[in-house]
Amino acid sequence: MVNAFREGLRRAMGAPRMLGVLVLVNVLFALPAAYTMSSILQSAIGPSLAERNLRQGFDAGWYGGFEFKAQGLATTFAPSLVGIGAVLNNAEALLDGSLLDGYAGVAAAGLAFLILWTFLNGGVLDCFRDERIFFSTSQFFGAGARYFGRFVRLLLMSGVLYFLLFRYAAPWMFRRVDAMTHNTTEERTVLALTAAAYLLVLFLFSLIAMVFDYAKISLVQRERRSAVAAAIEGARFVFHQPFRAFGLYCLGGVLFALAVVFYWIVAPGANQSRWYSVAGAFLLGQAFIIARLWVRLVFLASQTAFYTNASRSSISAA
Amino acid sequence: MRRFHIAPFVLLLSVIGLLVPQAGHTQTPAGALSARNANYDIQVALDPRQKTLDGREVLTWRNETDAPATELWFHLYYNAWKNTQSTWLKEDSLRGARAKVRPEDWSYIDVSSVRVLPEAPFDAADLTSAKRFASPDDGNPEDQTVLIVPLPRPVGPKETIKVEVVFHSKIPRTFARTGYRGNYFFIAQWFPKVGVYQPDGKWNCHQFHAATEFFSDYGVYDVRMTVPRGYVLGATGVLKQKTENPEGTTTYEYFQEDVHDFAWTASERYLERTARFEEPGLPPVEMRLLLQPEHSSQAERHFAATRAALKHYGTWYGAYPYGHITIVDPAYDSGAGGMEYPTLFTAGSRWLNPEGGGSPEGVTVHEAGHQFWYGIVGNNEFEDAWLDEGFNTFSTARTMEAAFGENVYVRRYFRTFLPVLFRDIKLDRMIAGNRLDGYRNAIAQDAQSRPTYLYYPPVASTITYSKTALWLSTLERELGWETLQKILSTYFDRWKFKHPKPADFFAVANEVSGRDLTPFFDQVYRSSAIFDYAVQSVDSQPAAPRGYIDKDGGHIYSAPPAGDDAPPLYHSRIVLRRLGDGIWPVDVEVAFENGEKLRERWDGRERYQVYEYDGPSKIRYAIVDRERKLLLDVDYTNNSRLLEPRPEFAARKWASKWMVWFQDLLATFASFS
Repeated sequence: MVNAFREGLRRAMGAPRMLGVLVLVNVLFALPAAYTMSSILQSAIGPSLAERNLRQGFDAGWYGGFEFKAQGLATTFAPSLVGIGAVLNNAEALLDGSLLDGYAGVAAAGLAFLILWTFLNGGVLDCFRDERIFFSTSQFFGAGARYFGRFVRLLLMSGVLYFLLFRYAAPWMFRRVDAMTHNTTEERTVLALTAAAYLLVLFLFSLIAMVFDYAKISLVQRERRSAVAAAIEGARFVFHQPFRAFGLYCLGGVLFALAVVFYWIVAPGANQSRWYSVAGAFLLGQAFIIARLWVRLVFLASQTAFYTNASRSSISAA
Repeated sequence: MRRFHIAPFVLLLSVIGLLVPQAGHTQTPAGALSARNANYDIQVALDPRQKTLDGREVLTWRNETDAPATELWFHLYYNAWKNTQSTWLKEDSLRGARAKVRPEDWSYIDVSSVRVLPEAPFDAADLTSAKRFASPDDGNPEDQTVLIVPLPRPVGPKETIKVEVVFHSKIPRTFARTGYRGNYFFIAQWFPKVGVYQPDGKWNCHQFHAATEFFSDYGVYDVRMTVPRGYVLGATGVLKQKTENPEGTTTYEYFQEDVHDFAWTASERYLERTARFEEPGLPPVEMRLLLQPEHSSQAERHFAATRAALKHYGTWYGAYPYGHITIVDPAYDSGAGGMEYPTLFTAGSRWLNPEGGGSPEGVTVHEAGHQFWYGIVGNNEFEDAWLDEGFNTFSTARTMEAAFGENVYVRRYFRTFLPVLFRDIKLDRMIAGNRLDGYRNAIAQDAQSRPTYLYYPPVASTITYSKTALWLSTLERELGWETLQKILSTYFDRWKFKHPKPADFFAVANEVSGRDLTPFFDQVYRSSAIFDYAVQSVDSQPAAPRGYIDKDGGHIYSAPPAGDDAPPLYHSRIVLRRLGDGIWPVDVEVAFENGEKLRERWDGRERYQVYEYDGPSKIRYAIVDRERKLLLDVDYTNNSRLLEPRPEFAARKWASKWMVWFQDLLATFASFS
């Protein structure tokens, strides 16, 4: 497991151009919406003197009026986007199952990006197929196209499980916490049980993600035609060595947590007032996005290494 | 003929006149702060397993008016949560769906006996069978929050009657402020409480409404509460006696004079802390804090906030007279937090509560502040709730700023357990403290002059809290703090331990300010006018006229002077608009590129106003109400306009931050793949 993680780190670090492609896709996908938000804000600030306050910091008075009139994409703008709030807002939405709530346009963009990422996963896993990292743009996108249909079928299968988790299982868990703590007067008890429920949701989410990661890996490694067979293989693989599989996933999780903690410490606030400080704050944010995407590569690379090692071991044993 | 010596007769009449109280005036007993006409001697026992109270009260009630009282009207607040047919729950449903209510959550109060006790001039009488419920506000026959007890003989002016009431209550799991959670109890509005008898011979005893609080007369409370041994108890007043009973219970006797309500709390988990408030020029106050164990590190924060309230309210308005105060930190999610009772109040905190976010300091200051507005100045919270909530919201914001500076924005994540402070996002008193956002979100609302219990429930709090605080802040900026403080302190001094009405406050405001503020109160109190002033446009053009000019009997074409040696001259114009119905005089500041600034005073009456200037410089900007005196202006963004606006930088700065969030969101969606 540790060796697989080390190998995953090595492979992920050996694919900077691929990381660059992924970052570029993320940025290009976000840019039109960011441009639209910029136009919305320009219109809302208008010719008023609020511009000065917003240039130097945040104007809570202006924001109250903006929020009152906000519609559509404008409703997604909030002071909690500053610094680590951007990450926490999304983490909370994920674990609360509310990613699709709110403005439908953003939810649609997220789902579209999910489809796009499904395509890109094919190129990533093809690149990490073996120890020798070879990246070429044509091969990357070609692999993406080759596996896209089967990956979409896997996505639909996992989608059913995620739906069951976030629409039924997770709400049921939190209702159970409410029922169990109905007469509890100590907040720490309720907090502990709520944290346990969140951890359980995170565990189940991770389990589904893990199973379908290995399904994709198996599909690529063995060139399977059947997504259903790959899904079964993924589940079998995880449940055959659950502790090591989950342990490896946790190592990736620790890496992600470190990135979040580091960003929490360095994340810029609201008070940039010069173009270079605004640019610096933006670049820090991009650094976090890059780190996040790189951690995703580590997940896929290390799981690929783990899968291939385990497969070799079982073949040798046989 | 015998002379009739009139002088002794006149002297006798004068002495009699001095001794007989004037008609309609409340008589304050010697040494008392208030009329003390509604006095209670109560014994009550709590059964924590059954969640019930069994009580017996003796009400000693004096008719302070000249109109004989043929009935006694009582509030039975617990019946508001007896079933879904009550007025309270029907109105509450307008505010949104309520979480599922379990069978054991409902409440009631049953009066099993009402007897007149024999004390001259009244004979003993059993009135139990004569009592009946009434619904004076909405005629709801199912509402049982008002009980009428006809009397066998009227209580004449200044006569006193003693009535014994025996009651049994089922304590609610908290719907609003009073109730239990587990073995934590906060007991408020728990006993049959007599209404207020008015000089016109009518009872002011409203049904319990979702958007209102309470109203009752001042008196003396002597209350003995029996709870299981091991419970820590706090109550209005001071502990007079504690008795350990042989059956494993403890009886606490609390006593308080000159208050109009009595609340108490009991829990096995309270930690008790004490401290003392001392401030030059103000009487000392012993502070007792009943704290949840997980908040033990926050004791000093509660004391600091209470001190701040006692100091600033005491300095600004008048001294807190009781000498003691109890601060209650309620149990988690008990629903009892953030509420005031005489000499006792509930604050409310969380286990993770970093400093700087305004909690628990804000709620502590606010509820301690209610000792002044509501406790000492006893307005009718059914009809004029704004007189205490609005005054207190304004005062709380002022105190928080004076004692703790600006708050910062706090967002609580993961079902509110994880607080994160955004230290760069500052919330100033004028906007956040006075709750402008809440007011703006419920603009289409009743005029404040409408009785509070008739407000549309979902927006009632914005009128009572936000709107009042905002117009008080406007008055502060218009008159100056010194004048407003004098208004409030005069009003406080004149109406302490009494029941003022809005007209009483307005009269003091006019008197002390030396101005007729009626037009202002017409706008903010008697109407629901919306204020919105705006700068519609700013323009600067070269001043020389263009076009045909008459000359020498003909026309010549005139164009702006050309060449570098031509001195620039600009004709500038600003157009101001009144977009709302509210009218208020506003200052206008016009700034020019050469640094010159002009001030205009617009009476704000017409729908638009134009100002024009000729000068060597173009306009840079115009702004209506630069000092933001008119806090009720619902859109301050349109109050200013730059001739050459450049919103791009600010817009791009904030869009770049938004983009990082959006990119992270996309990555989060990708984690499903």
